[in-house]
Amino acid sequence: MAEASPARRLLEQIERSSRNAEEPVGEFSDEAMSQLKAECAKLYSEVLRLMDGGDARVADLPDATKASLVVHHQRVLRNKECALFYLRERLEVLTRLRCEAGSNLPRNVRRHCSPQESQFNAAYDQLYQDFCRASRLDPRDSLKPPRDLYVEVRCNVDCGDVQTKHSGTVRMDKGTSHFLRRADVEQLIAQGLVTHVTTGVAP
Amino acid sequence: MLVGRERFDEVYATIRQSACGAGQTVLILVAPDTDAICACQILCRLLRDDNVPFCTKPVSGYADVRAATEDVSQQFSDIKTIIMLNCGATVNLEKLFDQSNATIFVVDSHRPVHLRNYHSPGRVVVLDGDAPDDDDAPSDGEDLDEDFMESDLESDAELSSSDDEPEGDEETERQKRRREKREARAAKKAEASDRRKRLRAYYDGTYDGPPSAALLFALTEACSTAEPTEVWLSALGTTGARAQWRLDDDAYDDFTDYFAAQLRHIDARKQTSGEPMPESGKGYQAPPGTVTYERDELRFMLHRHWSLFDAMYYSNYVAARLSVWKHDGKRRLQELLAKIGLSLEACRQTYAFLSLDERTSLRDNLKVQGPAYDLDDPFTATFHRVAGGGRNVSAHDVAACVEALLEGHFTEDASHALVRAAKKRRVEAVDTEDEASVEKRAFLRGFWHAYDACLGDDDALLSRGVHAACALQRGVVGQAVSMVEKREITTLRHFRYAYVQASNDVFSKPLALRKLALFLVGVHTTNGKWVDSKAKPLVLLAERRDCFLVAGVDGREGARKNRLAHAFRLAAEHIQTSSRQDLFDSSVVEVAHDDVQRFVESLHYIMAQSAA
Repeated sequence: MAEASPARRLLEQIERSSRNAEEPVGEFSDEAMSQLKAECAKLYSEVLRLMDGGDARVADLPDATKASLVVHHQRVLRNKECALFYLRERLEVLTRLRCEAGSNLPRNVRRHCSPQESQFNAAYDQLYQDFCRASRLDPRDSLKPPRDLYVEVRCNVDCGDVQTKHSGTVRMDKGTSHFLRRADVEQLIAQGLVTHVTTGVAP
Repeated sequence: MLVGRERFDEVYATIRQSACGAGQTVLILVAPDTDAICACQILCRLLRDDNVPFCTKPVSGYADVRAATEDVSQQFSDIKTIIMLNCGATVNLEKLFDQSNATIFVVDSHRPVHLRNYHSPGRVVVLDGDAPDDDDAPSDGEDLDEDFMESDLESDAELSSSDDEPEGDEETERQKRRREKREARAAKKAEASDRRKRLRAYYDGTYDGPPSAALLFALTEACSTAEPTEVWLSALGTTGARAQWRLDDDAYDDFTDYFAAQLRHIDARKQTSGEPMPESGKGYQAPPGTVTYERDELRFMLHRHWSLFDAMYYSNYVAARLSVWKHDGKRRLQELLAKIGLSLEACRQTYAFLSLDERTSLRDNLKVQGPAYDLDDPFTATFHRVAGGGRNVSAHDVAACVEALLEGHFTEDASHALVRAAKKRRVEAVDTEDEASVEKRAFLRGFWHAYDACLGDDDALLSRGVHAACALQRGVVGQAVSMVEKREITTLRHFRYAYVQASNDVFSKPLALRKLALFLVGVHTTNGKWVDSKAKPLVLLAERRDCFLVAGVDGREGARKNRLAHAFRLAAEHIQTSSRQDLFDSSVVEVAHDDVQRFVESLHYIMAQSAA
């Protein structure tokens, strides 16, 4: 066989992405999906042909034909399972990233999403925000109580003037270091705009 | 306002009070030198313990400070306290921060303090080691920016114009009044000239006060209990100040003794408070963060991190005394090592590979053999700290690393070649970006690297610093030797000068250039060439991308007054060039490319005039 079957390619892509932390979501492989659909259609028409257009009763068919029917049918089911697995895995990664990285997904992830997935992202984001608002909780908050009320962060990029809940407006220029309430800067840390500086060894 | 040690607790109480309730109220502006960075670390630890939100902003020159003033004057800004570390004392801060009403605290080793800051009613508070002595500073002046002379002239003119007004009837009455006026005018003139003289004397020459890190240590002591880490940081800052000759050896010894005493106090306090004391003995490993006082630290730069021979060859102390770059000097160095009982092979290996016996015998023999080779006192006092990785680092080594990291002197070895290639690609990609922002980025990166290296907890960063420091020191010695051998230093009547022609841009950074100048002065003072009447200030000119960096060092050792800063400014004004005295160290200026020769000529003229 010159090329792996489309189902196998989908599985391989999922496996590759799960190992690659840099690109948790690979490019949506339209090609493999459509090949897979075409294969299923072909198998279905083959089944129909073996059953004389669907009119023949299975019991009447010869054993050899029955065997090939079973093989064809299983192949279709397997393809379907793989395709669904592929889609589901990707969505799971996307929802996980939404929780980890915040409402703005990393650019390389957004670029790789199919149009349907982008729609899903938007809808999921909405749902998530609604939930946060309704329950007044952010599931992203750490379950562990923080060690310090205040943390020191260093800006990696120019963040401009940042509105904070406890410390008013803070001008966060690149290359400055700030000692602020943890709650104020947690978002920025998660987004990677600032780095949390841990203070070495205890005195 | 100038406050001495005994009122430091009030200062800190003010800072803390201003932070009550409101948001981020404290802004710390830090100058790029070892001392300021250590001071900043101490201050940040203090504020962190009290949960005072603060912002730390590295500033490379007064342009950055001005940018910060604009931020502070914004409507929404909560900043109520500005703390300036090693910057700001010599300029009129009230004028600089006229847009905001924040209180400004200045901890700066640069002197003289601007009189406006000195006599500020409370908006500007300058922290100083000793309580102010009012006789020191003339109280009725504010500025030496030449305008005080103009204002004197104006008042003279006023006087003479008002002189014509009165038209009395009686001749005698008029005459009497006139005489009184004349007397008053003469008195006023005398007073003005007297004041001018006092101001001149006050502003005559720049010098260095106590290191900021030591002052911050005093602040910590005044308001809470100092920990060993504070001792380490202030010792590091003091060491950094001495390396740049901002502190003479006697003062350094005083500070070190003081810190050692404080360290003993801390240990004693821990003992009495019932904390378990470590049992020393064989195989005992001190916990990270332990700071110890070391009386006999070898004066060989970074000797723990490269070979003993290199450490001796390249350290200022040995190089100056033995003139190691000459054939004779190198032979003498080898002879000394042989007398100590170390094979040349062993000396060329990394110091860590020397056996314990060899290391102890090195110390003992050096004491005996050293004086014959002019190395009569090859030891100095310092502090050691057990870093996070369990490594023992000395304040001398870390100070050298911090200084090298600060200006981003990275080595060219293989691992960095990759980084450089990546950087180059990135720079090409953002070619449209102007050079200033590239420089700014490099400055910020260097600053935070240096900041993080202070405690020596990050092994990777520290070894990078060691590499950088070794490379820098090699560069300094190599450059100095080539300048001496090629006789590139021109001696004029009142100063010496030389153009630094280096293949790379190492010396386009102020600290490195100053290091080179200090090395040259140190060598020539030790070998007796530039002493007594031959001691003159040394001015080095190094080419930068678009201008020349000019650094001046007073040829005479010690914390004497340095008159170069003033002369630089006058020279630049004289030839009307666009010089930039933007750096906090006013004895370093930037002069435009085409004007540099004229600048030297005019400097010569001005120095001659001031000497006359």
